[in-house]
This record gives sequence, structure tokens and C-alpha cells, in this order.
Amino acid sequence: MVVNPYLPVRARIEDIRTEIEDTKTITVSPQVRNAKTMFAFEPGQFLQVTAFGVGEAPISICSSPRDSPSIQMSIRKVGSVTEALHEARVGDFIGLRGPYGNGWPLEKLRKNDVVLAAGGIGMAPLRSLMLTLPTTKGMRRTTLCYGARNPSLLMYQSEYAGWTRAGAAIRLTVDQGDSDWRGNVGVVTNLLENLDADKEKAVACICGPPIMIKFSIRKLIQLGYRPDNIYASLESMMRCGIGKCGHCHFGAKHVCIDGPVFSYSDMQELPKGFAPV
Amino acid sequence: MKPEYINQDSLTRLVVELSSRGQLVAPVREGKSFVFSRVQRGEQVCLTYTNSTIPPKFTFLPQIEELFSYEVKSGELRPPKAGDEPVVLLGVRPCDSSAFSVLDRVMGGDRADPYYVKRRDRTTVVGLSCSRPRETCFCDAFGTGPTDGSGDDITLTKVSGGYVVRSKTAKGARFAREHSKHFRAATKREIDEFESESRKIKGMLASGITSEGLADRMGKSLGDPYWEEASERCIECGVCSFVCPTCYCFDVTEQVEGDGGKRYRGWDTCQSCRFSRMAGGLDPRPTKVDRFKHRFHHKLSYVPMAFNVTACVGCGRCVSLCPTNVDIREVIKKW
Repeated sequence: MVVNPYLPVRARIEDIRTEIEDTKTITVSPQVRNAKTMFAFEPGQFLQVTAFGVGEAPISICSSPRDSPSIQMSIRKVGSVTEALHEARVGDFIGLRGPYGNGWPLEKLRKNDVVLAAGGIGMAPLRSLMLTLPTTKGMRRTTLCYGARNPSLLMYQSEYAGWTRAGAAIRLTVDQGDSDWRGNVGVVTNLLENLDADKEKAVACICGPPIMIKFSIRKLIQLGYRPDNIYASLESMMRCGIGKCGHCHFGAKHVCIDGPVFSYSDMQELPKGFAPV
Repeated sequence: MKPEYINQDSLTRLVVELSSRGQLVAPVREGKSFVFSRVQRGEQVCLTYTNSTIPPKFTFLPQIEELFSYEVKSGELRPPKAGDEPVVLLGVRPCDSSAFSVLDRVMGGDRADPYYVKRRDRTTVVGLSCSRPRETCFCDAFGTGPTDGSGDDITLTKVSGGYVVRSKTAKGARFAREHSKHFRAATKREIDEFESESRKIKGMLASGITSEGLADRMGKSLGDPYWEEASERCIECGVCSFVCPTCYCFDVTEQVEGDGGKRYRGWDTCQSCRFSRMAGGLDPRPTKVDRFKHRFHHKLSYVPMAFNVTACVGCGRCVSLCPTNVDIREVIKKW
């Protein structure tokens, strides 16, 4: 039987929590017998999520592959599909296709120092990575540099202590602090200096708004990180997720199948205007 | 397989046979132009046309098609009932047939599109070599015509009193066997005429366009101010995409009635300001210049890079139907 990649699999919403003001994290379980194999994923991959009656949108997975077939996604309300997903309740059914895309370069990340740079909701696919990496912790160091507009918009705050216990260093910053904020104020790129990492070999993973990706890459290059060790997850309008609909096709690459994670070296090969570099 | 021959009367009978079985899609006259449509009566078919306004790609990629229907509340899906009765697509010009090879590369492969593949598999493409080019034809630039479209299963070429018939694929050979009573072996005189006709039509095309190294040339043009000026007259109507035999980009949309939902896909155009804009408003191609440029780069550089085939077959439809006279031939010549 030919598998029809356009048909979503029904998934039940098991849990919903408000992550930050406009973002909810939902936990879903696909309603198929072989869910664990069918939805086996790597950190950095995404799903095409259907709000039945409204439409479909690509959304990053933010949970650990170890929890499969239970999957979490942090969904920011930005359009009609995400708005409908925000209205869904526990017990409702949504549709899932995927997982799609390439994910973060796990092999490389397991062997070297790791720098994660996240801006805003860009933390979501990096959380998946964060939850995957510590178990393979050896001599390697992991640092997370994360920024948001203000302290209340930092996602997954209750988990930071656990990540630190697992061996990660966490550096936070906000554009604007509040009365309780004692931490850094400013852009994420400021956090990237003086990190405890071997720049020759360290692997950096970036996800955030295009401008943040652009300046983070610029900073890392200045600091001496290698272009082929700097990765960013890029966004694109897309419909199919399998390289057919043409929306995310740039140069030789499709964001949905060749990305969404691209090395800076690969980005330089892409037509200008697409990659935020 | 040796060339065969079918005379005009036999072809007329074959057309009637196929259309009476409801299997035939062929060019029919509609007003001043020609369209490919499901033929009910054999006499509607016209094989002396130059080319159709809308390319026959819709046989495989309909303008709109249902992907599935569902119940909104439960998310229970119902895939569409796809027909698998055989279809004969008759009279396809070489450029349009060659465009099927482009679509095959994109829609086939590792992640094959099941809707496309099903339609493609059940269809026998009977190509028709050209007898006279239109002023806007430039298939010579890409080797996609004026004879032998690369998507043909079997090719007809007009000679005195009938057509020389050559099978190109197993499917084409099967078609010739199934309808063998209409065919006979071509004579030496018919083959000679076929060869001289082929040479003649090839000599009538001299676009002066070369596709050699085009993907690279296009790549180098990206930052050039040329695009600002060239795109000025474009009104972003998208007709160039909709009449293009290789344009395959599609949009996906939902329709809901009561508790029932349907997901459709339909032709899209990269000339639309919505094509690459994301829900949050971010858009890698926010200006008309960006979008105009993208169309040419996608066809002549990105598809070649990703799928190893050029997404232009020189049919000239976008040239003749653009309301503001944007001409892809000029763009290619420029670079």
C-alpha cells in the first residue's frame, strides 16, 4: 500500500499549559498503534499540525524523543491555525503529519562543546535538544544563551534548575527588565562572549527571530567559531512538508526537507534574502 | 519498435472508440482557442491545432482537487475516491509532454505525491509532433520540442494521409498492441516523409536562446539592478504561472460545511504577495521585485539545482498571455 503523506494522523490533546502570554504548550498522543515508530523524531524536527476545520501549520517539537509517542509543542498564537489550537481543550483531537525536516546535528553535538542561542519562542526546538543532550554529557560543556523581550516571556522557567543540575550553564537576558529582574539586560549576542567552550570545535545552534539569528552568527564568527559548526533553524511558509508545494524552495534547498536546520556554510550558498545572513 | 502508420480515417475511428468509452482527453475547439477536455463525441477532437491555452498538466495536477474530507469534531478522515480507470491523453504537443517529465521529477521521487502518481500511472500520453511553430515558441532552447516530447508514451507525427506512430514506452507499446487493428507498419516512403518533416519543423525554430550554463548565469544575476526595471510593468496577476505547463506550486485550503471539512489543494503562484508570507507577517520576498525575480530563478536555476531539470519548456504561453508583455525569452537572453 502506498502511504499517503497528505493524510494527518489523529492525535489527542492530553495536556495544555500556558507557557507565556501568547504561547501554550500542548502535549499530544497520536492515535495510531505504531505511534512510537511513526512519530519517532529528532530534536529540531517539526510537525504539520491540523486544527480540523481551520487548516494546517508547521510547528516545532519541543519535547524529548525519549517521551515518544507523547509529543509536546509550544504554540504561539499568530494566525488562524494557531488561534484555533489555542482554543482546543484537553480531549480534543488535532491532526499530525511528520515529523519533517532534518533536526539539529546530534552526532556533532554529542562530541563537542555546545552553545545554544535562543530568542523568544525560538527556545522551543532548542528545549527539545536541551532535554536530549544532558544524558550524553561527558567532558563536553553545554551553554544556553536565551533572551526574551521581558522576564515574563522567558519560556520553560520551571525547568532551568533541572537543566543546570544536568550540567548546562544558563545565561539569560531580557530587552527590558522588571522590578524583580537582577539579570542581564540587552540582546542575546552579548551573552555569547567569554563562554566556556572550545571555539575551534564548539557547535552552536541558534533559533529565534531572523535579526537575532543574523547577529548571533555574526558574533560567533567574530569570536572564532567555524562557519560549518554554526547552525540555525530557519522558518518558511510551507504547505506540504515533503518538497512538493514549492513554498519553501530556495536555491537547491527546501526548508521542509533539507532544513529547517542549516549550517552557516550552507546558508551562504542559498540565494540572498532567504537566509537571515 | 518499428515505426507504424495510422491513416486519418483509422485515427478518427480510434478517437471515436476511445471517447465512447469515456477514456479520452484531447484538444477541442472552444471559441477561438483550444482546450484539453474529456471528449464525449469523437468529432470534437482537433489535431490540427497549434497549442491549447491551458496546458494539459491539469490531467495530473488539477486546478483544484480534494486531498481528503473529515469530520471536524473527531478528526476522522475519509480519503477521496480516486478513479483508476485508464485515460488516453491525445494530441499533447512536445513542449507540454516534456513538461510532464519536469513534473515527474518534482512529484515523483522518494516522497512521491500519491495523487499525481495515480493519475500519471493510469494515463497514456499520445504526443503529437508540431507542424508549425507559433511566433512565441522557443522549445529549441531546451530541446523540449518541436518533435518527440519526453513525456510521450507514443508519438504521432503528421505525414501525407495520416500519421507515423512511434512507441516510446512499455505503456505506449501496449496502447499500440491494444489498438493494433488501426495501425500498420510504416512504409519507407512514410518514414522518409516523417524524417524530412521533422527536419523541416526543427529548421523553423530559431529562438537564438541557449540554455547552456543558464542556472549559473541566473545565479549570478541575483543582485543585479536589472530586476528592478524588468519587474516594473508586472502587475502580479499570476497568469504566467497558471498557464505554465511546468509550474507545480500549490496552496492548501479548507472548506467547512456543518461538521464536515474538506482539504483541497489548488494551483498557486509565487507572484502572489501571500505566497511566502508567514502567519507572523515575516516574508523573505516582501516586494514585487523579489517575487518577479523568484519566478525566473525558480524555473531556470532552483528547480535545475534541486531536481536536475529546467522548469521551462519554451511553450511561449506566458509570453503570449502576459497582459503587460513580460517576456521570459528576453530575461533568458539578458543573462
